[in-house]
Amino acid sequence: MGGIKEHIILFILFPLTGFCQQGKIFGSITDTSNVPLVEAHIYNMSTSKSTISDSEGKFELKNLSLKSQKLLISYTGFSSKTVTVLLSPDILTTTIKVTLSESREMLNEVILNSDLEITRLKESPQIVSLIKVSDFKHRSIAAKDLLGVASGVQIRESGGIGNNTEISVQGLTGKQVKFFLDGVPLEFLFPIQEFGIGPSLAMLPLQTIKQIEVYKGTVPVHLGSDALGGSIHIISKSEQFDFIEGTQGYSSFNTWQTTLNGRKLLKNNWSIGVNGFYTDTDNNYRINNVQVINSNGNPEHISTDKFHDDFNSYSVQASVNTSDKKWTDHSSLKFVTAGFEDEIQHNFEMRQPYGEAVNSASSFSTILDYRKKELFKNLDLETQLSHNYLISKFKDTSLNIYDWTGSVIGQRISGGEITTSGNDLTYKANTYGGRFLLGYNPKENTQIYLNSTSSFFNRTGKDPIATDYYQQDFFQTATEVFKHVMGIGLSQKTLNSKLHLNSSIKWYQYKANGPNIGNADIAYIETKDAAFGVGQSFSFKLSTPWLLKASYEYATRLPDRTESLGDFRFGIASNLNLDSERSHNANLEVNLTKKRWNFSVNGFFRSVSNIIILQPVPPPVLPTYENLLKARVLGVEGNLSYALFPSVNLRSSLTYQQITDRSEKDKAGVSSNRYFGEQLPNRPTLFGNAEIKTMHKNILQKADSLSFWWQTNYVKTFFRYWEIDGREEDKLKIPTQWLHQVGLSYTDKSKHYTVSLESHNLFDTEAYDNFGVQKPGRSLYLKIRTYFN
Amino acid sequence: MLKVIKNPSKLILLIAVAVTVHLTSCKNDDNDVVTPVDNPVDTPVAEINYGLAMVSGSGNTVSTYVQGVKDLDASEIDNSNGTELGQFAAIYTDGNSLFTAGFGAPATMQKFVFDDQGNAALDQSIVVPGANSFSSVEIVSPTQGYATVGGGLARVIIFNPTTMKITGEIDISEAGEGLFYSDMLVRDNHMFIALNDFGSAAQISLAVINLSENKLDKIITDERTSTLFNTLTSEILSIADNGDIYVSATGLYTDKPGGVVRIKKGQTDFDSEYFFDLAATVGKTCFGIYHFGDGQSFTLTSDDDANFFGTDGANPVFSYHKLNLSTKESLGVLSESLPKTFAASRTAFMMQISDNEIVFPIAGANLDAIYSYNPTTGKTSQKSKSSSGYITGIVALTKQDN
Repeated sequence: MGGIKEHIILFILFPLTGFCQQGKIFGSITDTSNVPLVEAHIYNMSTSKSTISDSEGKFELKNLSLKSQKLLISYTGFSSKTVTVLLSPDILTTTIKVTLSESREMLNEVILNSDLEITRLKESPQIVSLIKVSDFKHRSIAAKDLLGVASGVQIRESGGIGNNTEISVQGLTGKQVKFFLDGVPLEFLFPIQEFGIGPSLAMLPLQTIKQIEVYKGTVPVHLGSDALGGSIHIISKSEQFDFIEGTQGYSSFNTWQTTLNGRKLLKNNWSIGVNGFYTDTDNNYRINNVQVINSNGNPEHISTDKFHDDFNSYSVQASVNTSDKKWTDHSSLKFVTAGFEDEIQHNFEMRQPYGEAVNSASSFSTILDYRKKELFKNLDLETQLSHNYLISKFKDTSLNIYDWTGSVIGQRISGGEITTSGNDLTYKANTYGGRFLLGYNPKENTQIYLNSTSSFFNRTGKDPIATDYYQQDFFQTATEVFKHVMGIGLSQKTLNSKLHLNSSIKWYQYKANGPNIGNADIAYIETKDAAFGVGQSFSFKLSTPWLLKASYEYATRLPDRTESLGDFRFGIASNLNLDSERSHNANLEVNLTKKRWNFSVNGFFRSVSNIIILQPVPPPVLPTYENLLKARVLGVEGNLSYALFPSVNLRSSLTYQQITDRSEKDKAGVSSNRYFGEQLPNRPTLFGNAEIKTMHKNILQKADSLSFWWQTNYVKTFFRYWEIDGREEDKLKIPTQWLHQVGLSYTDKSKHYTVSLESHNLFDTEAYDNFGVQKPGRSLYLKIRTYFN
Repeated sequence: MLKVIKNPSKLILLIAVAVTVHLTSCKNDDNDVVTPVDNPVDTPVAEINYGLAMVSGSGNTVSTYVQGVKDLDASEIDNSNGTELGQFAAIYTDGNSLFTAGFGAPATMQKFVFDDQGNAALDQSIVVPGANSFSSVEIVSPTQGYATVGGGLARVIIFNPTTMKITGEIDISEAGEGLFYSDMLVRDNHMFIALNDFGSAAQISLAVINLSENKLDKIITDERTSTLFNTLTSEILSIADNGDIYVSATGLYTDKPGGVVRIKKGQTDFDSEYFFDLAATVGKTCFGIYHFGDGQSFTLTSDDDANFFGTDGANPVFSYHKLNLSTKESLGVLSESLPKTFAASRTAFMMQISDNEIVFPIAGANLDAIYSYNPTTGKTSQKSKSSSGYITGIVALTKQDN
């Protein structure tokens, strides 16, 4: 009887035990020579989760449902393989061995097609470039540098590390392009407006990034923002094993860069992760043709080293994570502290050196991330809540006058180096952010998304030096900005999944209030705006290997706090009448993917109105941001990747764009239509890059590897001012740039150590992205990476 | 340029000047015909008789362009021959060459000479490190010029326009801190510098420099009006044929009326018996003073003080207005049919090019042009239309260096 009882109990509890029982898959991945493949990608198509192999080529998948598990195993330079593993109450654990063979397909594709997750994105209706960061992880570059390899993307920098960076995507630039980390606006993590986008991206070491997605034109609903025509989405790695990884780099201009990244798995699917970044540079590179003034007051031109351009920045991220719980697929609580100190060397066009002015900021963030598929039937949820606390300082109190050699050559009787009032500004700000993404799958091949992203910014501060001058302190009056972007999207596949459609409606809302900069008596002002947007995109698999994509979006960018409320520090007045920027974005792309090569060509169109511009005006007019221009962008970009040999790959991209003025004269601030149809100045029309990369194995030891790369970047000369104005011989131009980088990296057989050597601007060419502002000449980089798991 | 600035105030100006820093604001040397020092009889008639400054561009890429022209009689002018300066700049002359004072640190003055086609070639520059820009320039001869700079440097630079070398400095720090030097004028052995304190002292102040000793002699003040604000126009100190100096004050930011005061010939103090109350007489805020003889004085009036230092290109608000300084009378606007002009730095000035002709620019909503005024008939007419931007300076050249 006892046995029957047990059977009855077991029968009753069977469903429960069946539910509770979970399986495991252990595996190892090797090449055909039985050499373990480290960091091979294992994608579980059944759960949409992935992991990578350890230093012995091994991996482990846990907490699996007892059913058939379909795994896609991939490794750069090798043919991918699909493996089906059956788990059942009788087979709770299984071990597999997978052997991959080398492929003649591209080893170093920027546009990836080597794993399913990426292929799925690539075949989605979005016009998107994918950058697989692992191909670049040994290089001495930052995430922003990596963006430049995508077609249609251009990076403009004012000097060395830490200086202003502007990123353009298909003709739209600066604030018109938004940044995300794992679906969350990057400004939830870092105060981008204070840090600048270059330093912010540098705080995300390549070792922590899995891939970067560059969306062009239509921005997906789940990236909730007021991007006008481009978004950069950075996807973090999410290793499910213990590891620690560190890099140490030293390069020209006394530049040190250190990163640390690690994760420790705990019991019950909990883990902790930490990563850190620190960089410090003197930025004391050689600059040519700068002026020193002789005793007669006449300029003489010299070459000298920069002397007051030190920059250091840091970030530390620590997280507590859990996954595969009943109540969550993945949740984390992340703490981030970051900051920088930036010596300001010169003014806008590098005409006046400064010797003491400093800008700095510190930031502390907390982010709670919760994700759950099937929260309710067919309903997925992602939500993030964040808080950021910022302390920002700007000090400009020196009476000293410096020349380009760093010598003090005189003194003022009042004011600072940059402003006549002088500044000793400290302000503190809080940013609260929230994002909710609901995904509903009513039937196969149909998804409905609802995304809501909100942020609230509050700032107060003080500046005793400027207060002495102006007799009042604007920063003591709080500035507040609220932004909300909501979107509803519908994604459908039809015609045997050959046709993929995405439709979206977005709602943008903005409200700001603060002191009216420009008023003698501090007055509290308020401005708000709201707008709708729509988008439609599709992809169509014509026939293997052809893929056609088309997209359209009517997008909005809301004014930011400086644009609407002004900025006392920079003497920018408020403008309550500012409208949001609007843009019609259209793209058409054709993709052709063959075994050894990939080619895509993309035509793009933008019709942008209400472009917000800080208009330079002669004194005494206080500049304000104005809706000054309408512009049309017409362009074409192309990508070509080619696997010349299994170990040699070529990649190139080229972009041509015409950005023309379409403004009515009264909007453009002129008395005639003289500039209508003319190319906007200070924007490049033709740029591109190319790279050759080789990778060889078994150089010194079996299973070690040696990589070599040569990359070149090209930007055609363009005018600083309108081409139709002035005498051709006297026109100011940003000269053609053709810069080269070469590098070499060696990884030992254990994969524990990698040494990289690089040279940027190999031929020591004078380089300018912005008129007059010289970038570094030839520089050398040494980087050592260690990795253990 | 489209510009709508609401709630104007003194502070806007303070911030603007403090942060972006004062451009230039000067007068007779840039817009008046300078009597050449060389014997005019021996000087051959130049091919290029005028230097022009024009601001061109749209959006956030705008620059001053300079060029030489034979005369001002062309029905249409453009900038196809203009040299791109890459910044806003005021222009001056010593009668031979064209000098620019650009807006933006460091304070840089450039000397251009013209070839027969009017093409400008850079000859030499004077730079004052640490200063944000030249705020006023006075060239009294091809070998003597004076300039003040903005940005915390309380000094007058003495330079030689021919050699473009700094030959000396005059310390004016005793005039005070935080002042802007809005205009200069040399008469006899003294130089008068208008000090702009944006109304904080509710009076006007001039620094008087003794040019024999190159030192600050004294500060003279007058409490009947206030605020020696310049830059909309190019001239707030004007000298009459008899040697009297007229000083135009706006009264802005104070309860003092805008008005004109006088320093009589041979004196270095304000004439307590003369005050022309422009606020009461004209009824609008007046900017600048141009004096071309008895009954031929002019100022610029604003229809809308809420926008007086905006450059609302769609709705310009400034008019040229005629005054009689002797009788202290308002003689009305120059012409009711004239388009309104907007006024940023140097967009309004007047210059006499002959006994019967005074020229002035209009930077309007639909038109940029040079207009002509006949003091004999009192009639105005459009002289030359610009197809490339608005005119911000004309200088007369009587001899070429090239």
